[in-house]
Amino acid sequence: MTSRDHLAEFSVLVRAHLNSVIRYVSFLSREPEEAKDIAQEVFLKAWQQFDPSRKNSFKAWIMTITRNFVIDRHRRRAPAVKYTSPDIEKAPSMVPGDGEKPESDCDFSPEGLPAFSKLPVQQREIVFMRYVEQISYEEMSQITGKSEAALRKIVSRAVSAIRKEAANGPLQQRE
Amino acid sequence: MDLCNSVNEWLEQDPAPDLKKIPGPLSRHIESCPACRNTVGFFRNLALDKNVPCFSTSETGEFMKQLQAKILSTSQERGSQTLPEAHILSWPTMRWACAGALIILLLVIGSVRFFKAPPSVKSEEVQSFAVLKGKATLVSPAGKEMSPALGSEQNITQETEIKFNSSPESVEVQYQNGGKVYLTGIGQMKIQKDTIDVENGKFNARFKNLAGILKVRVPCAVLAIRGTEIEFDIQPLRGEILLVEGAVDMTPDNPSQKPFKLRKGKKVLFANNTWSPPQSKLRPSSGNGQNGVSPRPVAPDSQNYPPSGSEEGETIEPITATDSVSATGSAVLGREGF
Repeated sequence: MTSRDHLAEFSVLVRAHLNSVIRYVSFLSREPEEAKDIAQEVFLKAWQQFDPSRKNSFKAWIMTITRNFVIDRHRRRAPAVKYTSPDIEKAPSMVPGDGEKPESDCDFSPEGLPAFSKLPVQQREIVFMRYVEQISYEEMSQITGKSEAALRKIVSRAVSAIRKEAANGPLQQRE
Repeated sequence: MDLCNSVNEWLEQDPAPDLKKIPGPLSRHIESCPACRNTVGFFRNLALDKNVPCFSTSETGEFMKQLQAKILSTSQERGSQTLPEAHILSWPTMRWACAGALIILLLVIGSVRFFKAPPSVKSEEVQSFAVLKGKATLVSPAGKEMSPALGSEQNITQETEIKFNSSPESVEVQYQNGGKVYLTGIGQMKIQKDTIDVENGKFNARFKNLAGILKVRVPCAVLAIRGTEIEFDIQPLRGEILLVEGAVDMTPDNPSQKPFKLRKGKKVLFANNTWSPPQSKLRPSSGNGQNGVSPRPVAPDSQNYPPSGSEEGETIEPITATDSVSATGSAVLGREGF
């Protein structure tokens, strides 16, 4: 296979998963305006390590790169992070050094669902991957490094928390 | 409550459920249960949130152009012709490849040594038991003819046939145990480790320093030789053997004939598949000076040697237990008619 074939194959995969990466970058970084640039860097990095044998697990692989890239970027820019929401401060603290995504304020997308913003950061990420990106437990395990059992527990807790919130009334989007 | 738990389980199942296609029993419950309806509605709206970014087709096209330009520029900077780094051989990859190649090479060398080398050494030891010096042609068992260069030695292996026309110089066959055979004249014979099969020719053979008894096979008889000199004249229809020096035990193939001993200067003839016994008087060979043979001096009366049978007054000397092969005499042997 020539380099042109490689690039063509890679381009097809990029097109298929571009929106997932953009959404995940926006979710993790809370900087939608920079999501495009970050996605460029992510795909460039992916190209440098691209192997056609990854074609079948490309989504999990590119999401892992995205997650690590955003975390590294956040570490370099850590002083710029601001915690503005009193709700998020109630959430368990995430230590970037542990490979978790950084703590965030409540305004990251989807900001229209207040109940979502009340979830702990860890649950938010897993709920996002599961219900927005439709990623399986196995792939989430590859991306986050957590076991599938742990991920199921996180999802279960998130569903229970949302149900508890929903018992008080409809979870409407903000205008 | 059970149905609410079922809704939770449905939401948690793997892979993630399609929230637009709710199963029948759960659908009715979800419609009637506000908490379940709100919960399912929350997860359904999550993916549809207006703030979740999504690239349009044009934005995707623009993104791809920029990405490909970056890939090309990066590749040109690195001089890797747009190949990803994963396809560039790095030292760790090369290290394992080299180690693998080395292991395979060692295995190949080991197997070649194990399976090939020992048999070749053994066959060399077994098959090459003598060397040939002089002007002669070697015919291998496979029929391949070789002529050793002058002054060089040629290994003789089992079943090697030699043809020589070496008068007046002799051809030397030197055994590994030190025994030597000098052949002068014209002849053809098959050399074996402890046997020489004389096929035809007229030649003189001197045997020296034999470690044991060497058997010389002639048609219908075997000569047991330790160290002596013999003149052979073996032709298609007749044969003649003259013992020039020493003593030879001759054993005819015909069981009705007893083995007998040849003395120096005695000659035997071969005719009608039978070897005649030794003669009492030395007679010169009828082939003296022919075919380049330089025969040893023989008695003048040997010229008129009868074609078969013994001369008057000659008796066969049967071999007894006390007889031994001597290398001190001289005789002429001959045969005819085979």
